Amino acid sequence: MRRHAIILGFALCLTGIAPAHALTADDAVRIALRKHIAPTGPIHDAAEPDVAAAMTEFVEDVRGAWFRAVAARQALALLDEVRETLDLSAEFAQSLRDAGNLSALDLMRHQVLQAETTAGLAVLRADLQIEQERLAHLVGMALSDLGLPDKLADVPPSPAAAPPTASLPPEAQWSVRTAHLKYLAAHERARAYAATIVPLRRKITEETTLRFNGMLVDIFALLADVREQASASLTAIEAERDFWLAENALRYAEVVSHEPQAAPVLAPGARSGAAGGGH
Amino acid sequence: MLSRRNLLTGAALLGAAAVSRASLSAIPEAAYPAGPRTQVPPLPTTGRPFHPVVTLNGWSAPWTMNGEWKEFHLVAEPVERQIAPGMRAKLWGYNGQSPGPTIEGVEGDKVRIFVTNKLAEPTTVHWHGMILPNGMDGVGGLTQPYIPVGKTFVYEFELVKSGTFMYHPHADEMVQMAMGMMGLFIVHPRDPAEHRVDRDYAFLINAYDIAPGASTPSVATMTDFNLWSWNSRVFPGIDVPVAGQGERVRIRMGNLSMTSHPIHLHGHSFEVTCTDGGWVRESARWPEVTTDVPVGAMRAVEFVAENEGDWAFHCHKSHHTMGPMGHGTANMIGARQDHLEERMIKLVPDFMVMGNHGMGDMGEMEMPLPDNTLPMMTGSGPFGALAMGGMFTVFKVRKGLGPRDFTDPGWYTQPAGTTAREV
Repeated sequence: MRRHAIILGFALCLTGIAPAHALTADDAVRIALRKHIAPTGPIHDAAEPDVAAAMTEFVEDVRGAWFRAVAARQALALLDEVRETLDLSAEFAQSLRDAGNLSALDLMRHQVLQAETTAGLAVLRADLQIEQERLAHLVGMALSDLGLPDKLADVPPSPAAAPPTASLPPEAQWSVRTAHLKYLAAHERARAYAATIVPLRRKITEETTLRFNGMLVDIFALLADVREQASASLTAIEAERDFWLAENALRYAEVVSHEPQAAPVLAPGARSGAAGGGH
Repeated sequence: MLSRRNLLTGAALLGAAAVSRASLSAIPEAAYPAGPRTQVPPLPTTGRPFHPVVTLNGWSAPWTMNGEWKEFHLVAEPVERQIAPGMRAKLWGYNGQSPGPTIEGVEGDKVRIFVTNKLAEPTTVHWHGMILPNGMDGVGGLTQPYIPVGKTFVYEFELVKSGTFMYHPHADEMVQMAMGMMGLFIVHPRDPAEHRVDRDYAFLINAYDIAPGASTPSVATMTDFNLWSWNSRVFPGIDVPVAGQGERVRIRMGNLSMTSHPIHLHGHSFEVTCTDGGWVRESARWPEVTTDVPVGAMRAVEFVAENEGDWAFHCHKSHHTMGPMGHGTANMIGARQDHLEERMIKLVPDFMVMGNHGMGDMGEMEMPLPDNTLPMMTGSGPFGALAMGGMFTVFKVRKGLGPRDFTDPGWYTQPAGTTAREV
């Protein structure tokens, strides 16, 4: 119970509402706590077990919403790129059709691919919009005033060591262990995208461009590879977001399972600053 | 002689393990050429006299006289071939090159050809078109055991008729020929005055499928080759044949690719005077400017180089006079693209509109290409881009060329007023 007081006390002792820098996850938590909790009653309410547990969950939720919102912002730009490759394919196909070089059948194949994918993108776009608006809702700000950073922090090259759980009760051991395994998997996936898959996709587009120069492949093959590259970048952002969400979940699991003094969620200079803070 | 022949043939049939140290030590050293440019062979100083052929981007194997036997040594091995400046291919060949050296002999010669297998798989050598004992025909499994890896076999036969022949493996031949294993075998008439020409050129027609950015041919390709080559060279890497005005010229061509090649010479008409079956009777010859060289066949054409100039000499299948190109790509001719260019550049900063007006632009632009990849169209002449590739070279006829002078005389200076002009 005392740990919850620590969380709240730390969160509220931070000063200032509108950060001069891009809005970090901690900023978001601080602002959200002020909005949703401080007005509801005196601080000491946080010492009540139910309130404290709900607050810890709330902190995790706001941080999660922040990661989702920043990732969504990045992803939206890439969705536009995916869509542009399809639009261009269809427009080149129309040019070819106008010149008499393409059958109506082949033109329709380009058009239907464009239409189907664009239709799918509409739902994805709305989801991403909702991710951002949810954070705005939690912190009680207009979406345009959020001032989110351009991108999430890079995923660290090495994952954090397994947290010590020996002193914990079995249930808590299990939840920390589970969260850590998910964290490790998310780390491996995010690193694979950042260090290998996206660079390979970029290199593939470069090589395809060289083949396009030599008339060894055509404009549609080039656009297809640009699209694959944008899709890989999109998946990379998702993987990065999932890593920070897993990191967030691991912290949450640690906090709720530890003795009060052991691991405050928002200790200054702790992991929150170095990782996932978004600055 | 007979006993030695029997001994060696027997040894060959039993495998090289049965060849004694003494006979191995008697194998002449294998000779290696100096590079991919044409090496004009010296006039023979041993054996019967003949007028050697000039192998385009090739060379002729030296020999050693051993009694009445003319001995050669071929080494089948992986080689690296410059296909044209800017591209190197990992091939298989003989004595350091693909094609292997041209073997030249004279009607009536007894030849003893040692073949050492430095490949990773068994091989044989078939002497295409030769009349020889069945056991010397080089068909693995049918007429002889395969030459195992690391072993040396010997072939011995008499050159019973003069003509234009070639050699190639008859063991895993789709792979071994796709990898470049082949060579010319020229048998000159016993009488050097017979079928005498002033210049005698020779080359083999072959084709490779090497993926852009790679260097080893695909060995499973049957039709979609992307390098159409003469002696494993493509334009502008094929050396130019030259002739003095008025000289009688022979060009011998053998086709070991998987499709036929209508070979066309500008500025002259010629007659096919010899095939891999022998000399064509004069009464059976007819004038042509293009002769189709079928798969697995050879044609020798003859003509008098009457007309000065730089004359295109090429396969008439137009995709065979191009470098690597895409198959099944969209035809952009006449299609409006300019309005999309800016948006493309946002996605691909190096983007440039291609193929709007046809593919001729390719010959003039130097665009960055994948590593080790030749442009689809390249080369330049005195009047601009040649925009060629593949099986294309220039036959140059000049006044007053020395009889053994094979140097490229440069571009022809056309007499004033004889060039096509704008009106």
